[in-house]
Amino acid sequence: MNSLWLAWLYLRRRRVAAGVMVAGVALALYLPLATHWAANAFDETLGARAATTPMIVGARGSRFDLVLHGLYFRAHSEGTVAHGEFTALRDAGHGRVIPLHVQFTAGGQPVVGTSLDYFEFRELQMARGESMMLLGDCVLGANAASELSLSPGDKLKTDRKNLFDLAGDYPLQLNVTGVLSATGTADDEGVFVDVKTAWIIAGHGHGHDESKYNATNSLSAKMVKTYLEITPKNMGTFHFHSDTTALPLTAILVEPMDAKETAMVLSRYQHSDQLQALKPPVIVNEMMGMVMRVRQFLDANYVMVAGAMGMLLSLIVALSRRLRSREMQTLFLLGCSRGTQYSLQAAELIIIFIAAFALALVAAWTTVGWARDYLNTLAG
Amino acid sequence: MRVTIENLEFEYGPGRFRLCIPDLQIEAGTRMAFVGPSGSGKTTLLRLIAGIVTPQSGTVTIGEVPVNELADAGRRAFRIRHVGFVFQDFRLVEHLDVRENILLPYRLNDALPVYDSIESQVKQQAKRLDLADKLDSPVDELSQGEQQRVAICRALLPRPDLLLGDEPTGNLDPKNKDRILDQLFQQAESAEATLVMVTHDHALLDRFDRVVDFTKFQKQEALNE
Repeated sequence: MNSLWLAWLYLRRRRVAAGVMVAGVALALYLPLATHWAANAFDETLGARAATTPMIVGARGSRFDLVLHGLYFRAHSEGTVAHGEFTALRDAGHGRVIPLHVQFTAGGQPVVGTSLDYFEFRELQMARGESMMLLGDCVLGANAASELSLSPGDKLKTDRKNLFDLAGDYPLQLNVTGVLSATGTADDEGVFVDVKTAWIIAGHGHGHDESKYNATNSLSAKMVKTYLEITPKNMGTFHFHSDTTALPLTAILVEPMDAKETAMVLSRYQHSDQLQALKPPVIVNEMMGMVMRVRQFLDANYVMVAGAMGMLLSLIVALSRRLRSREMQTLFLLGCSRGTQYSLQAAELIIIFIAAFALALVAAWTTVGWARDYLNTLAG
Repeated sequence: MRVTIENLEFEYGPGRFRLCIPDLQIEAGTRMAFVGPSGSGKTTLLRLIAGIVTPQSGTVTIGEVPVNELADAGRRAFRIRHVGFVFQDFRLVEHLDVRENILLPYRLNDALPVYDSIESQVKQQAKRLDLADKLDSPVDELSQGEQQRVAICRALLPRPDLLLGDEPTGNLDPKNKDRILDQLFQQAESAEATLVMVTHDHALLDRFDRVVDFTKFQKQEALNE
């Protein structure tokens, strides 16, 4: 106990040097700790989300992109799948089929065009307000609502994809009808709208403002304008010029009824040049396998870093003994045994390691918390 | 405690400084001063008596214990319990404050006897040596005289049977010199301790029971004359 007390007094007096040593050791401990915990958190979070998403159908291309798109609403630019494919799948009776159209953002949050089945599929509960019922309605995930400071009854404008493209899509003002309970998943970040609303944002449908009718206008009997807001007054004028079966979805979530239906969906796209059907748990396992290989490589590096740190510490201890030889001689003259002298230096190292370990734990814990949050904001 | 030195021979190495003392008796309770030129072996003899170093031949007996025949651990334990040493260069630990420097022998050795409350003992001893308001000060912020008083305070706290001082008043002003010497004598008397002190200050010699002049020793004569 006295050794620890004396060691503490020494370190307290040499606080800058002690602080540098604590920081150095903490960093050496933090890196492997944070990597392992973050990888485990990544594995757990991604795995849990994938496990509840049996199948995704989308344009052929990167499997990882499509799965991340379906699970985390991450931007997917490989192509689209026609809404007709969705209706065909639904009519084939393989199981529950949910459309996804994720192409735009509102306030930086992904706008998820889908159907009410999605809420049931993900077991999402309304915390406030009510579900989306009409064109232009939206329901916010818990984090999206808090980040945008919005509540039911508020308005939210979608983001323009390209500010300089004057002929492109116009922002649509959405009516916030409800806010979902927090789930700790990517759903907390979403702005959920009906898939038809998503198509209107994409410019596949539009309405006409009757109040702008000007009979005296010789050039046009009806002035056509792209509307920025869908109101009860103009809602009836909204329409799609093309067949909705041809309109695009970015992915389709499929929950087959059983293994046989799963096999049938897989075989449906097995030879397709345009589309692919993926099992997210399998793809996520594949991704995690790559992460684990990277982790093994990092582990090998950490062993070398730990070795280097150990050698450096040994050098510091040896130099410290030389620098403190007079102090040690004084302790000897006062009756201190060699064992007590070693226990004093050991106590100093113990204090440094405990402080460094505590610091590394806090830093790693904070990092993992941040990593979990980051995982849910993979959209973009 | 009586100190007996017989046929003592000590050298730091072949051809280097050599100390030979055929016979020296220091009776219990005696106040003895060692005087002599620098390098004559005064400090070495104190270290031999304390068991910090051991002679090549001869014996150093304190009380009934032949100190130089004890093993390292035994000599250390004997020194902790019976010998107080005021070092010429103070030997304070600079990262500790005054209180912790005084308490250091207790922190390092569980075997030291604790009288009453050790904290109150520290305060009393510090008050006697005019250090009461310096207990929480770092020792490297003290003057030389104050540092010397801290070293004396540390040596006196365990109430040793044998008090050895290597010029303990060397860095003190005349007023403090007398006061510290009074303290040392008083402490030695109250504990019936033997006091052996190296000094260059001949004005102080009248206050000692015996004076050993190391000039004689250089001629290798017996010191009990």
